[in-house]
Amino acid sequence: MSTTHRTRGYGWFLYPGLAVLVVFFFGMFFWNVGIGLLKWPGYGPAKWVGFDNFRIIFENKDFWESWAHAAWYVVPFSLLPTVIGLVLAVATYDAFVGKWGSKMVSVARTGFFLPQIVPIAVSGMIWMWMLNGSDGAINSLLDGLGLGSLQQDWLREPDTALIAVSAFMLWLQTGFAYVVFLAGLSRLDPSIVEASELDGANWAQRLRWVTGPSLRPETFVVLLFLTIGALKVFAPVFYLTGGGPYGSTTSPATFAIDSFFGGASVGIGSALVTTLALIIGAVLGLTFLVVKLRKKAVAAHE
Amino acid sequence: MNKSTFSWSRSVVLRLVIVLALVWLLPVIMVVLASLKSSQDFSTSGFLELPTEIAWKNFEMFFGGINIGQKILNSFTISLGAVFISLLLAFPVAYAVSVGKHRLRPVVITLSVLIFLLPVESVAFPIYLLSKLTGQYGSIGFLIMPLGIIGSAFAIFLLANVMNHIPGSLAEAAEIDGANKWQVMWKVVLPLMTPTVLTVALLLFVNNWNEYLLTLLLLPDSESQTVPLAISMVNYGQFGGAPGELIAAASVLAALPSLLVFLFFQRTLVRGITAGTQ
Repeated sequence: MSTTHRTRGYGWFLYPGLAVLVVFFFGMFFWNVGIGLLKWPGYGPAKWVGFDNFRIIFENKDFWESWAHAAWYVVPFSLLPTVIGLVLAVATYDAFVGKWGSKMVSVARTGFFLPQIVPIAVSGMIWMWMLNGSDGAINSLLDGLGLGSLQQDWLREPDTALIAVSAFMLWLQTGFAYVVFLAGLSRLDPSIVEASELDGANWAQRLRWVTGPSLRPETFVVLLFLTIGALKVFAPVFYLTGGGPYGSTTSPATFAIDSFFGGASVGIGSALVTTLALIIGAVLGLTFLVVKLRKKAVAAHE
Repeated sequence: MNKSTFSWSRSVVLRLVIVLALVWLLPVIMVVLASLKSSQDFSTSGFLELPTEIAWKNFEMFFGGINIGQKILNSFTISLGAVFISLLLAFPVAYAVSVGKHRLRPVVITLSVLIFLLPVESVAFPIYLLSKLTGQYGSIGFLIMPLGIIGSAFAIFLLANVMNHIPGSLAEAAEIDGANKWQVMWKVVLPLMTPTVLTVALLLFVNNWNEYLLTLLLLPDSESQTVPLAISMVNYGQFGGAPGELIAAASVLAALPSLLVFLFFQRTLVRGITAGTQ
């Protein structure tokens, strides 16, 4: 049986599932794009206004502020978790080389990964309770440490609310980076690490020359997933502050959802979400272009 | 560096990692402790003190007043139903592009990653309109459909990645023995893929259980609400500003199924997440 013959006839397996996914998702997607071109309160007659909604959006300073927050959120949602996750994973690996069954690894993994599993509606509630201004755990802790002067009504002040949301994001996402890096390291040949130890490489040198470089593919994926996650972040903001106080923690997604249901205009909400999707699409497109060009350059070099 | 200083620095690093992991666990530990304290105990004891006696009555309230039993059933129906749809849609697609080496493989992988990464907000409102237009607004059955379909993007991506390691010669051999492609999928590929299918199912289950946006949009009635949303009402909605120990008990209840899945299937879940990044 020839290969070409064997690979024929899989259409029946491919097309139904693919069609349902693509038609449904992009059907809804372009429906939403279309609504973005209407002046429509969500019921009754709608009026075609073309790109007017986008003009209105771009003139709104709250829109730009939500994107400024998104740019800021990339740090606690993506960059810091990646760096901390990497260092922690390498430290864990170093401490347990060749002893993967150890109970301590599973304690560490549970600790860091648990925030990924708890519903954000729930962990948001826990954090609200910890950050409570009068008798929350954070304030009690500061008091206990003799740092009572640092007590804040964390979620009620614009500056501290942004810090609180950022801390929450860091808590949520570090575990993702950690488990991915840990799994990447388990592929590494322990003898290479041992050899570098015998050669006298210290911890930082090994991170720089041995363990770090071997995790390049994981780093790429973690950074990409988390950065996109930061740009479209909704739940951590929605459940901790709802975007407040005074819009000081809004993200593009919470801003859009507010426009849908805040009574302003569904058209504006749709246009906002379309903008978000386009920006994410652009980030993805650029990333893949760069990856392709690099591959080509490497191939040409060889 | 001699051997003894080396093992010294190693144990310091080790302790730092474990201490930090415990710090990460603190919010969860505190909430579990708080959920077991009586209201008087809660107001007088520190956040990390053990309860003087275990107050199960914090939990009892949820089985009466807001009928958590019904909500647990809703959550299970929605989460499991959507997982089933996702797998049903995704498995044949992954089979065609992996074992079948279908030429559209790059397109399929790109599309599934794209759909997985695009914000669900960009399709949420039309889905809401669709539910209104078809008269299905508020129906649990209707919510299962978009959750299942969108979930299939992630399932295709992960299944196709792992399934690619199945050697083509295996399918060839089965076909020479007279099996058709349908039988190969069911009898040869599916048994080999069972661990991965289980992983995908668990990840999707946790995801669906924790879902908030579509659930919030499509299910307005309190009878059809899911556990996490009903529970968050304790804090935001009808019970606004409920006592801390009740909020804590509510949190523990809402997170429990995901936590149990995690504790029992930790390795499987982690393996799945890492398979998704390769």
